[in-house]
Amino acid sequence: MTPIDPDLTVKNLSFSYPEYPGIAARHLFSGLNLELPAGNIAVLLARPDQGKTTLCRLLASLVPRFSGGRLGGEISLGTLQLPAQEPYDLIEQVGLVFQHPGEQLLASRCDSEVAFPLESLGVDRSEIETRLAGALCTMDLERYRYQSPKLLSGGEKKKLLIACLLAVDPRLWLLDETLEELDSTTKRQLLQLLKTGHRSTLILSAKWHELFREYVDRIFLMEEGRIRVVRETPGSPEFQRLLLKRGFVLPGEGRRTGNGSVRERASGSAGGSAATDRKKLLVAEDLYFRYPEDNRGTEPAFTLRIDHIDLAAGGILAVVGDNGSGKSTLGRLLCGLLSPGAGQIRIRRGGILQPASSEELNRFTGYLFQDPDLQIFLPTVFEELALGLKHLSLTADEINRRVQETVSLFGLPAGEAPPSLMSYGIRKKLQAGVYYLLERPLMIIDEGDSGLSVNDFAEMVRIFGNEERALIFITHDHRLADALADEVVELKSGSFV
Amino acid sequence: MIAQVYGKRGTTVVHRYDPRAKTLLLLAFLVLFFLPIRVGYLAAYLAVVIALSGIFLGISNTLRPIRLILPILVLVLLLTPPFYREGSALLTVRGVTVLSVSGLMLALRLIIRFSGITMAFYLFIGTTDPDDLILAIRWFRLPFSVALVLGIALAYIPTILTLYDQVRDAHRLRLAVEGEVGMAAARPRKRGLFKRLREAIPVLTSVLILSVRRIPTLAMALECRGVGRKNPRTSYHTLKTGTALLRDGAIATAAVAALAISAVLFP
Amino acid sequence: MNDKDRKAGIAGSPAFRIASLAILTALTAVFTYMVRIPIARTGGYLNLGDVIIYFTAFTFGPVSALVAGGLGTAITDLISGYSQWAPISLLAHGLQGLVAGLIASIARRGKPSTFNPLWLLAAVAGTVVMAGGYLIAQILMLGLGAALFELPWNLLQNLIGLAGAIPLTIAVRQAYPPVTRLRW
Repeated sequence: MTPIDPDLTVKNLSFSYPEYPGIAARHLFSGLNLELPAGNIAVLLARPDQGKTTLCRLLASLVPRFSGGRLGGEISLGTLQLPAQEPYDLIEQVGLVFQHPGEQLLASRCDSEVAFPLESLGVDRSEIETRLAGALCTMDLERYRYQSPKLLSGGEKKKLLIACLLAVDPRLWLLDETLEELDSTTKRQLLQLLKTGHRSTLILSAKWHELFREYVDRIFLMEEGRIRVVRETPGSPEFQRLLLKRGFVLPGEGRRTGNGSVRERASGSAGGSAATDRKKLLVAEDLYFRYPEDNRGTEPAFTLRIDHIDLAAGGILAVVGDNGSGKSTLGRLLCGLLSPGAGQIRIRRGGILQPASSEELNRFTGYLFQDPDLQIFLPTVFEELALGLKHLSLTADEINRRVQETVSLFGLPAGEAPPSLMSYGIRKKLQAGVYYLLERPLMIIDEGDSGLSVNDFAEMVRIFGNEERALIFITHDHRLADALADEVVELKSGSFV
Repeated sequence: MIAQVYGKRGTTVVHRYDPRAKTLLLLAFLVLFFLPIRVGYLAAYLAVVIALSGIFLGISNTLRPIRLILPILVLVLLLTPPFYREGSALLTVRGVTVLSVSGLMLALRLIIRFSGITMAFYLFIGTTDPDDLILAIRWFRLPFSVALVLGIALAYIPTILTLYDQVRDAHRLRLAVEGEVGMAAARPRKRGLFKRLREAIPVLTSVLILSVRRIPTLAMALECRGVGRKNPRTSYHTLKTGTALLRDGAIATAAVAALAISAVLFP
Repeated sequence: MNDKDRKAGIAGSPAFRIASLAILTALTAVFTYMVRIPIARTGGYLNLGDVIIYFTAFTFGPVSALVAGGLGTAITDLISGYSQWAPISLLAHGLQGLVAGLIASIARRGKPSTFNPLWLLAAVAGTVVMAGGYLIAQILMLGLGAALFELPWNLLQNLIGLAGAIPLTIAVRQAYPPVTRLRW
């Protein structure tokens, strides 16, 4: 069998981000090699924070252009040396779909969005129309032609970005976590599209999807700044062992880790949990919330109806559901950011369960938003952690002690460097540390598993699911929910199924 | 006009009228309201603009800017005459002219002028699609990069507004302590102005950091779509051309001529 | 190519400049629009627009403050029903940003994340330009009396702007030092 000529060749790549006072230069890659034959679809598995996005941007010549840092080694597409090119000259060679679609959408209408790169290329109007119409049609977005991209759902936004690439049809496609948050039909459609088009594609993913087996020609795995080709056959025990060893799946994932105590400490159904009232920390009943139609028209109106939720000390409840099912709304109701139209939430205060006002819920609950940067505003990790302790009138030594304890518990960097310069995963852990110190009885983690490796997330669940607190975590990942929670409930269109 | 920018676009004749021609009409009306014609005639022109607005934007929409400027108009009515007290007196207090006819007339003129300008602008913006407006600005020779800045800024405004709400929520939850409600401050009092500003700094800091961090990412998105290339750009969307444009242009020219003649005939 | 060349490179890139101006303009529009303290004032409300204009002037420089200040406030006027003020806001706030940015970038002593006394002078100049611009426009549109009435509010507006911009600029620089590299 004749070897296929590689289309994309990465040789001995090394890259580190610039250093800042207090933060050593982050070395992402060293001695990294990758070969992608023409027309092949490859998947690159990499845990969060390993540099997936940076690698994509390096291939598109965007980094180190916009980030600074030191680059070594060679990246070539055929005979073209990529780092020597300016990114805007490469758009017919390399196409990139960002991890967060909102960051890549530019136009006020879907057709303008797809037309944009063609306008940059100087294509004339009639040809733009042909290519644009073809792309929108293939991605089944024709009906959104005149609408604003903002009104599309997350999955549809990704489809729109794919349409933009289709219109340009570059030689190499880079999809940064594009398959996440797509429903299985769309995933299949996309993979089929890539396969029939014989486009050299690199899909980057933090999780293994079974669908890859059918469509993907080659599997890579990123570990410690290098890439290795995965030769183990997907589905085989060796493959599972590899995923486990490299931290892509949890031990025992797929099987409910039973201590047999289903619904002993947490419940999302009418029967309630088996815990006695004495041990319950929160009981929410007959919750009703109607989301008004956003006057920007970006969110559809829907109604949330929850019969019963209760949590006892040490209970862990997982809420799973698709986007738009109401997971975040439920979270916001339980922490007092939203007031229910009807229903009652009781919390344990002064030893008994009492109805709680919004303000009381604010104080009772901690909420880890999906975006950890929403509350970072101080120059050092220490200050961020110590902020919540200010009102407690503790001695400086005591504050120090608690902060240091939290720093080691969560594996945070000590020192004087600003949190905003640290990696995403560390910022998420910092957010958790802040709330750990606030000692709120009920913690809600919203999509904490995005951006954290499964082991890090499991550790976070373990810390917050201890005997004094209760934990609710919201996720897309059924397997993770099953593996880590006492009870899993699924939300669909505002109600538990 | 928020609905205009982020919601549904209008479809009346005036909405689809060419924005360049509309600009000409707007300028004509602006000039008109500054001309030294009799107050009575100015009032007539004002009525025309209000009528157009009522027809093409709806009554409730038309009342909106009127309601917004009412306080200013009252202010002008009250504060202008004291500065212009020559001429025949309407009101004297102990022999000193407090209110004169010319002062009152000037106040009226200013009121009508300001209302006219307000309604003319309102009508213009209310019936013009922001994308068309940006295209028109480009046609007036403004470089593509400025048009792009405008377009993207408009797109990012709701994003940042949402961010602000989320940041406020996150800070509020974090700082909720016994006895206080943290950032969810109580009734606003004017005296607490600077204090409220100080309390807002953490939230504003987070919003700024989050926004500023998106600059390199947005720049990357733009370069991924070819911004910065040396070849000339083409444009998929265009404004009207050919007979449609001529027709709109003719209407505008005729209207401007009519206004000019009217101004001369009724000084 | 060392880091300095690279920095110079991206600041010169059209995409970077467009991105920077777009986001700063949007921020200005939001700050002007979203935090409105309605008091017994006509023709508007106290807002935080001047806070962000001065922040932009101190952190990003005169050109950014000119564009963001002018376009940002004009956009807010257009979408909030005060479109008649848009051309005036464009000029007055644009020049306010330009002047403040020019003065603030004359010199700086000490670390970037400390207070720069030039900021006070920059804000005074900005105030004169902005309040002066509005004064002239309002005399033409509203007459002398109303224009004089509006003047103290505009001055208060600028005072709030400076009072907010100083701690904000310092806080952002301390919490996110790379912001100084985004200047052009």
